[in-house]
Parts: sequence; C-alpha cells; structure tokens
Amino acid sequence: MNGHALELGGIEKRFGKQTILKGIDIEARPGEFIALVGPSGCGKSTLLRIVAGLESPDAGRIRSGDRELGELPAAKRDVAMVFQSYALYPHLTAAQNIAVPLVMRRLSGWQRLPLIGRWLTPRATRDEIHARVRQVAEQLEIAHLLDRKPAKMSGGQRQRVALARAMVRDPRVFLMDEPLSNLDANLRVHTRSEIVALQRRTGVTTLYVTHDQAEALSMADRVAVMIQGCLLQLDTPQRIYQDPRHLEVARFIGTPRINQLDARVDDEGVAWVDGTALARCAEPPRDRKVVLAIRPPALHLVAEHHPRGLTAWVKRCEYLGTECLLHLELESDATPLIASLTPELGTAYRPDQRVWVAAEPSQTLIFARSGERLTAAEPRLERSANQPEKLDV
Amino acid sequence: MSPIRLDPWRALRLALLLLGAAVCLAPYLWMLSAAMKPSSEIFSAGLTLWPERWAAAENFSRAFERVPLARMLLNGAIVCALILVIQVVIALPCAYAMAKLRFGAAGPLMAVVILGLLVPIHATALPIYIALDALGLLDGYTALVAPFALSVFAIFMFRQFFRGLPDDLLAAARLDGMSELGVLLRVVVPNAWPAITAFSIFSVVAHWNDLFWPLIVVTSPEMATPPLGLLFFRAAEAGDDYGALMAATTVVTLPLVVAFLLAQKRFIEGITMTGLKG
Repeated sequence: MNGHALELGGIEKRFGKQTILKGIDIEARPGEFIALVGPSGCGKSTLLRIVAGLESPDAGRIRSGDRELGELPAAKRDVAMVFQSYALYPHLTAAQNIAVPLVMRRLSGWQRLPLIGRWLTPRATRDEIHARVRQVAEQLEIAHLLDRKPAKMSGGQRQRVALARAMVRDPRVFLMDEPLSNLDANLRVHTRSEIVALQRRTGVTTLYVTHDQAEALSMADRVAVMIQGCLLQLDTPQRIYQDPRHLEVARFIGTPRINQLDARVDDEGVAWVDGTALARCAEPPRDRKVVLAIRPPALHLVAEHHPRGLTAWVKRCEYLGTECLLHLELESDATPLIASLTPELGTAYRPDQRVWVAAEPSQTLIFARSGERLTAAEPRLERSANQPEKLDV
Repeated sequence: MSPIRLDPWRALRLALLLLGAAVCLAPYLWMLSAAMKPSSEIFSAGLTLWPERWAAAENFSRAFERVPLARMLLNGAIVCALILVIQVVIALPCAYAMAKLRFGAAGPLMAVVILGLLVPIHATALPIYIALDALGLLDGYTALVAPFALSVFAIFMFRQFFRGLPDDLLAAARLDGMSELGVLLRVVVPNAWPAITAFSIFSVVAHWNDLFWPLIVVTSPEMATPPLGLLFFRAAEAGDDYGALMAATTVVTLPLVVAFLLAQKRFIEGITMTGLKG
C-alpha cells in the first residue's frame, strides 16, 4: 500500500535541566503499527510531538521513507495526528472540520479566501473534496453528523470526527496521542479494533501513544516500552509479555503486576529464596543479588514438600469471574505475591490459610538488581543440606 | 403568571435600584425635555419636565444649521471605525504571538505592555502633540487616530483570552497545513469573537465620547468629533441657546443609546468581561 518507513535516530530532548528523552531509536517498517507505552511522564507524548514537528528535539533525526522530516515545520511534514482532546475546530461543522486538511493542501491561498474563494475554485475540486469527506464519514459511520458542530456531539462522535480528519488525506505517518482515553470502557474496547482495522486498510505507518498496556498489546504490531525517557524494549506484544528484557518492562506490562522475589545467587548460579532454590542463572552477577519475576498465572499452588515450594499465607481472594486472584504473603519476609487461578480452584482458599506455591524454572525470569535480564541456565536444583537455613536477601 | 411576592427586602432593593436609576437618568431626561422646549420655558422659574409649547422642530433645525452637526457625526464614525480597525488588526497578531508562541522576548514584551497600561494619555499628550505639529499633521484624521492605533489594552485583553485556547487546537491546525498567519485567521479569530466584540464596544464608547484629545489637536469645526462639536456650539452661541444645544446633545448621544438598546446583551457581556480582564 502507501506506507512509508519511519526512522527515529538518537532523539534527545531536555526541558531545562531535566532530560525527557535519552536517545530514542525506533525503526518502523512501512505500514507498521507501533504502540509507545509507558507510565505518565516517561516522555512518550513528547516523542510523538517531536515526530509531528510541534516540539524540536535537542538531538537526533527523523526520516520517513526517503524524506528527512527533522528540519521541516509541522505544516510541511505531511503527518496526521489525533489528539487526546480531539482538538476539533469549535466554529466549524464536522464536514468542515474533516475538509480542512484537504482545503489547506489542494486549494491555493486565493481559493481559500472567504466568499470570493468559492468563485476561484473549480467546481470539480470542490466536488472532489466534498465526495472524499463524505466517503471517509461513511467509513466511520458519522455521515449523519456532518452538519453538526463539535459542541453538539458526544465524546465518541467527536473522536470519530477527529479520526476522519486524520484519515481524509493519505499522510506519511499517523500519530495518535491516547485517542481513546476520554471514552468510556465499552466504547474504548470497541473503538480499539476499529482503529486497527482502519490502519490495516489504509496501510499508513502509525505511532500510537498510550499509558494502557492492554491497549498497546492488543492493537500494535510492535510495542515500545518507555520508562523515564529511555526506550527499554521494542518488540512484538508476545515477546514483550513473555520475554521482557528489563525488570521495568516486566513490571509495567501485564495485569495483575508480575510477582517479584529478591533472591541470592551462589557460586553455581543458583538463586535461593528462603532456603529454596528457584532458578539458575548462567552468569551470576557480581553482587550475587537478583530479582526473580514470575507472572501470576505461572505461580501454582503445590503440595507441602514440593522441592521449589515456598510457604505463604493467603491474605485475600479476589473473584473476577474468569479468574480468581489469590493475594498471598510470603511467610519468611512478607513479600506480597499474587497467583491467578481458575475460579473453581481459587474460591476454595480462605484468608489466613497456609499454602505452598511454586513456579516452573522456565517461567521464572531472572533480573539483575539494576534491572537487566540475566540468562537462565539449565536448572540443576536439588535441596542440598549444606545450604544455610536462612539467607538474608 | 405566577404572582410576584413582594417581601420587604425585595421592596427595599427595588426602591434603591429605582432611586439609582432616577439619579442616573435625570440628566438625560432633562436634556430631552430642554431639547423640546422654547428658550423662554427653559429659563422659567418652575421645574417642569413637560413643555407647554413644543419647540422640538426649531431646536433641532437650529442645531443642524449653526454647526455642521452631520459632518461631525460622520467624523466621529470615521475616527471610531479607523481606530477600532487598526487597533484590532495590530493587537490580534501581537496578542497571539505573546500568548502562544515561544520566543525570548515574550517576557520583556509583556512587561512593556503592562507598563503601557499604566501610562495615561495625559502624560504623553504633549510629546505626541509636538510630534504631530512637527509633521504638520494637526487638525486632521491622522492626529485623531494615530495616538490610539496601538492599544496595549487590546493586546493585553486578547492575550489573556488567547491563553485560554487549547494548545492542541493550534497544534492540530499546524498539522493540517496552516501557517502561523493561517492559524491566527482561521482558528484563533473565529473563536475569539467574544473578546473582539467586548473590546470593540469598549473602544467605540471611549473614542466616541472622547473630548480631551480632539480638543487638543482639532481647531476647525469641519474636523470636530461630536463631543468637540458641542463645545464649539456653546462657544459660538455665547451660551444662551440651550434648546438647540440640548437638541445637538441628543443627536450626539443617540447613536450609542440606539446601539446599546439593539445589542443590550452583548453590551453587558462586553462591559463585564472588560471589567474582569482589565
């Protein structure tokens, strides 16, 4: 289709003394949908505004296909953006709002003048714009709203008009800044799939900013996780979830939050928690301290003498219909844990019950204290008698 | 119709308002009444509002005969219109730049604007007069319009209003392909009509009624604005033809009164808004 590759190289941005973006590199293939996700204040919106040309970066370059965008003003970049606040022109009807990008690009300055402009514009051009607006409005099912002004529309309707305004021309890049965050939950899930379908059909390379990790995972071809101005990982949703390269990524992606256990590593690389060997890393870090991370669905309840079993107390059982979240507290140091169980299994447990939990070593992710992921080694885990009873971690 | 309850407090409030209205309206009523009376009645000892003999036709025709009243009204309209148009055309881009664009001089410029608000015309009147005299521009439209063409009040007021416009809206306009001038004309101005209307009312009222500046720079009756025309009238008539003077005054105040009655709602909105912002 008509997608262009988008390439961001070493983008840096400082506001005063504060560094907002610390060298961001992203390469999007033509037509790719990339979601930028991260907690608020991580710089994802700033990055989007830099691509749009609304902010200028302190360093770095932006290319779209064979064109350098970095030096061009926003009006010349040929990118379309959907704003969180929709940013519709309050004094124009929906049809006029949608037509603005076409009017600005297809008509000359004289033809855009009020009143006399009409006489200077060939009828064919006007009809063309009119037809294109109508076509886009029909695609988005807002044809009946075309004569209305934004003040007389609901949030969802305004959102569609904003989408239509972005789609009405074929831009090089779509930029979307949390376009769904002002919609109610039902509409949001519905609109998600619509946006993905529209993006597939138009084939325009898209950067989509969101703070909602579920939105990012469900919509994007690839997800870029940004934390505090750094791009920590850019990968497919599956790999972001299953194979996070950084502890912050593991923590940010997935609800409920991933379980974290502080562990000590011996010379063999075996990670111990409370006298139990849980995993083994290929190269033990120098400080011998690691963080083990286990997704709640990977944490299983086991029998008392399981070799990797940890003793915990049930604090609370959260019934959610499709699953049951068991909130636990480790007996040794009160580390909070969450296990996601089937509803039948989960509801059998009562608060203050003593249980044993364990995870497969393959499901246990090992991170250095600094956050980097460590390679796991083939497990050789037996309970050995010469290990100290208690490890202070 | 639901009956209006008249409790004592409401009655008191209404009485006070009526009293205030009467005090404010009395001079106007007296003006109207005098414009209708022959001069013998104006100087009679009794205090009657209703004329015994109607002399309106004589008074008004004398008013138009003795001074070029029509010309003065036209002068007033031209001067007010020129001042307003130039003020708005200059202040809109200034205010937009100061409110929404980032540049180094924005801070100092704002200080200059505030400073400008603090200096009254009376302080600068003499230097401006000398300058206009040196340029040979006294006693003409330029002298009447030029000192007011740049209104710091307009810049300040529009700037405060523009700051309330969402940044995303302007960003969207830029991404849609508009230049900064395009953003101003196509997005900012259409959404700034309340501010522009308010300022227009303020400006027109101030300059239609201004006596101070025309008195300084205008000497010939052909260049006089309406308030100055009244002054010429008095001087010319040695102060005894009050009937014609009041008729002329009525004619001069009429445009604003009619405008007020036609656009009462806008007028009050405008005044309250300038009250808040200024």
